[in-house]
Parts: sequence; C-alpha cells; structure tokens
Amino acid sequence: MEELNSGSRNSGKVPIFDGLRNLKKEDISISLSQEEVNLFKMACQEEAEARETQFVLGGGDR
Amino acid sequence: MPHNIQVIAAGLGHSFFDFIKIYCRDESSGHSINRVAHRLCSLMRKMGVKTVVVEDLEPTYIEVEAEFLALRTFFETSLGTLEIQANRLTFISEELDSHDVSRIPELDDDKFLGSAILINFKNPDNDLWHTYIFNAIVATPKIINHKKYGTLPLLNYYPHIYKNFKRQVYINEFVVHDYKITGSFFCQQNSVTSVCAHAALCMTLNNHSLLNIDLVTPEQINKTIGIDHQKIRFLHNKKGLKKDEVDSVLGKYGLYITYKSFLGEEIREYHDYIYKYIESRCPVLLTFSTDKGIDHVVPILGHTLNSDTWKPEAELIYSKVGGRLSYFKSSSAYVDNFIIHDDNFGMYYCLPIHSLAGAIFELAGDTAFKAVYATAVVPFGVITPPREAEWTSVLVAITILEKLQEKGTELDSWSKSFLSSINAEPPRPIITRTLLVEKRSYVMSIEGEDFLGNSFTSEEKEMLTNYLPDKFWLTEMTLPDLYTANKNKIIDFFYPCDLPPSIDPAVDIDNRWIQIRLPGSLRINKIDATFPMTVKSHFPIFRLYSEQEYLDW
Repeated sequence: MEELNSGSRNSGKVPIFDGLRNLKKEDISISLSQEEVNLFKMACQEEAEARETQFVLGGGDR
Repeated sequence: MPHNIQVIAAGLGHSFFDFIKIYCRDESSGHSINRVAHRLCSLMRKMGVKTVVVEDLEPTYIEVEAEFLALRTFFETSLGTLEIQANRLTFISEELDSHDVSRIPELDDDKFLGSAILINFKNPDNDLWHTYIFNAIVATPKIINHKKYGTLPLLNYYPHIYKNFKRQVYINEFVVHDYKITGSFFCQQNSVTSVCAHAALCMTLNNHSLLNIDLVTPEQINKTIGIDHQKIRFLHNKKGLKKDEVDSVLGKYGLYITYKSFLGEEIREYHDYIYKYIESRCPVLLTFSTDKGIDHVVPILGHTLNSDTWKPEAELIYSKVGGRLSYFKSSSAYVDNFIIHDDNFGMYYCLPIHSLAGAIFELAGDTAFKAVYATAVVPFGVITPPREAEWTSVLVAITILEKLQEKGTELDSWSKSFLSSINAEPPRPIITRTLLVEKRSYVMSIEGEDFLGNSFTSEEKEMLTNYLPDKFWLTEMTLPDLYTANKNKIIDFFYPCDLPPSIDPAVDIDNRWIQIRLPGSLRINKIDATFPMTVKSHFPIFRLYSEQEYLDW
C-alpha cells in the first residue's frame, strides 16, 4: 500500500515502514524463555483461580 | 416533605465545630467524635463554603423512608420505639442570609459544593446516639477563587470515578430547586442494617459513569440478597457480603467482578493491579486487614501521581534485575496515592500506596493494616488479565524492533531510543501504561497531533480502528522522560479483553494480539499487513474524557 494522503505538517518517508512491511509473521513470532513461560502461566492461573475464589466483602474474618 | 428550612452562615468566624455539635448528636452527647462530619466540613471549608442550608426531613421523605423502616424493623421488634431524625445539609459557596433564601434558584450550579443527608438515631441497645451520613454528593476537590490564580484543579490529582449528579434543596415547603454537582457519591454504614460492604457497593454503583440509574441504597442491596432485619444482625450473625451476594447485586446492573488476593510477595505490587482498572475507569474495592481481626473495604476513585518519582528508574540501577520483562515499568510506579472514600473517615482521602504494602520491618505474624485483596468492577465479558496484555506488548515490541535491526532496517530515532534504553548498561526502563479502552473513546483520542505537529489522516484513523473490537486492552509504551515531561507515548499495542487467561502462552500470545502502532507504521496481526502512518513522533497518551480538566506537572 502506498503512503496515504497526509494531513500532516511533517510527512515524509519513515524508514521503519519498509522494514516492517517485509517482516513475515514467523519473523516476529515470540520465543519465550522457560522463566517467561512460567511467569505467564503463574499469573494467568492465579487469575483463573481467583474467579472461583469465595470471599466475604467487608467485615469478614481473616 | 422537608421543613424547618434554615440558612446558616458558614464563612469565616462561623465554626464548623459548633455546627457539628448541633447536628451530630453522637458528638453533642459527648460520647464520640464524628470524624466523617468533620472531614465533610473540612472539605467544604477548603473549597470556600459560605452558607449551609439545613432541612429537616420527614420519615416519609422518599430518600430516607426505606432506611427509617429498616432501622425500625430491626430495633422495634423487641426494644420499643426508635428515636430517629434526618437532616439534609446543602453547602454553598455564596454568602446568603435567612432573607436571601429566594436567591438560591439564581445561583449557578458550581456554587453548590456538597449535599449530605445526616441521620441520627438513639440505639436502644446501649441508649447512645449514633450519627451517620446516609448519603452525600461532594464536588470534586479543587481550589476555588484563589486570590491570584482563580479556580484550579488540584495538581496531579486524577479522580477517575465520578459523575454529574442531580440534587435538590427546598427553598420553602412548596418550592424546590434542582441543581447538579460534578463529584462523587459517599455513604456510611449504619453498622446495624448495613456494613462497610453495603457502603462500598453503593459508592461503586452510584459513582459508575456507565450507569444511568437512581441512587442505589443499602436497603436495595438487602432486598436483592434477601436480608430479613428481624433475623439477620450484621456484625453478629452475619459478617459482610459473600461473593455470590456481591455478584447478584452487580449482575443486576450488567457488571461483573474480577478478583485478586495479595498473599506473600504479591503485596508489593498490589497497587499495579488496582491502578490498571482505575485508570480504565473501572471502580475497585480494596479490602485490607485491621488489628480488630476483621477486614475493611473501601472504594477507590482515582489516584495522584508524582512525575518526579525517583524509584522507577533508580531501582533498575540500584537493585537486582532479571529478564527482559523487568526493563519495563508500569506507569503505576509513578502513582503515590489512591483517592478513596472510607466510610469510617470520610470522602476524598489520599491513601499512600505504600501504607498497605506491608512494613519493611514487621513483627512476625503481624498481619494488620495490609492490602488483602481487591475486586475490580468491570463490564460483563472483560476476562483477559491486563498483565497478560502488558507482558505481551513488551515482548512483541522488543521482538519486532530487534528483528528490524537484525535485518539492517534503519530505525527512526524513537525506535532507536526505545531499543537503546533496554540495551544500555545500566538499562533505563521503558514505561508501559495498560488500560481498558472503548473503541469510540480511542477514535476520539487520535484526533491530536504528535510532537512535530503530525496528525493521522482520516484513512489512517479508519485503518487504526478497523480491526478493533468494541473494548480492548491498550498498552502505551514510552520513555520515562516522554511520560513524565510530555505525557506522550511512542507505541500503542492492542490486545483483546474478552479471552480467558492464557493456559498456553507460548502459542497464545502470537495469535492473540491485535495490532501494534510504531512510529510511522501500523502492523495488524490478524491480517498480517503493515500500513504507513503519518504520526512519526511521540503522541499524547490516551485520556478518556475531557469533562474535567487536569492540572499536570
């Protein structure tokens, strides 16, 4: 796609665009370290479990 | 019908301490100090109150009728009749005397600073007067008519949960004046038929900007969950409200709660969880422990921010860091206080975030005065954790920019700055700000210009929003200097909010993200396509409404 009509005061070529356009989906696939996988899983699991947790709002015993 | 309408001078020379002794019978009887009434009057004094109109309310007055009935039902089953009375107090910044009451309808709405209904009842259990603010609307705190600077919002003060409320005051027994206050709703438990959970839920629902409803009362909550005051005694045979009771109350209004407990080390970051929802205008109820062995809950309405905070940058250098995720600091790191209503103390208090994060040196087993859990009230269907969106944004941005560099693409100066920040030795943080955004609000937010005066063309705006769902998580990424000095961002990252928490992040995060806007370009993941964008420099951060102006430093 060519550069769109510009409403700007400072239009012009942006170097990053051509490079980004040429990146394939597999080029930008995220590779996670084991530590990052664990962090994600832990955080997401906590969120999922929290949805099932029962609590008493205010005035509840600890 | 309100009657016995009195106009009381409240300017300089007229003490609110004397005023409170007249209208708060708990304090005038000498057995307690009414902290909430003092806080209300202090706020009114700060905003330049000159007059208070006091009305006596009949037991049949529509706003108090159900509350009176609940108290009478509770006490009169075994203890005879109940002494009870209610007054409405209207605080005005114009000097009026008793002959000027007819001038009230001529006043602009901004002259009305607050309106509160105060209830006094004599508790037959102990024969002591109990006084509480049944409801109040208090204008957003601001400096009014400063001699040199005029009327100003408070500096770095961001009350996000507020709305425009209709109130009324009677001029005489037959004429009523309607007016509006932009501010927030406050109420107190009566500790008999309602507890702090009722107060917190009423404050949450009544201040919710998406709900256009009549004021919700504790008695409506009791009715929804089936409380019989002849059988249930709060704080005795029933503590607060259970999760399913809270669900049923919120569900009536199409709302839903998401919950997180702060056990162990998690307490250090409790404010980050809360901030992401508050910044999204989703009310949050914070529960903390007390030394009485029971928890207390308060609604959070907003936050203050200190853009000169040293910690976000300093801790990357002075403390141990690990992994690429630690190079990113949430903008919550600049938040210094949450703005709360505490029904035991009053409205618009600032709660320093570190006060409930656990003391550095604490006694073993000391569990009091700490954040225990938070419940965020979100629109139905918002189930993706914001942390998943934020972490993915970080990983996608780094991966794309590093890949471009690896392939020899010449990066623009802001993308270079972004990468060089995290590759520097020692590194500087990248600031991330994640919030729930509605598509229509995002459309409005891209009307501005970047630092160099570039704006999005209409075709670009359409491209930017074409693949966005109605609601999504937006993560803005920027440099500390651009965030604190310019309030600007470099990158926008878009993530769904309606997917369950990921159970397979290695696969999910590549597929889930919607799009990323980098300087001069937009990559849409769903269609695997890239488009040029005219905005190449840093651009103003997303702000939801312009209804209330902020004063930033």
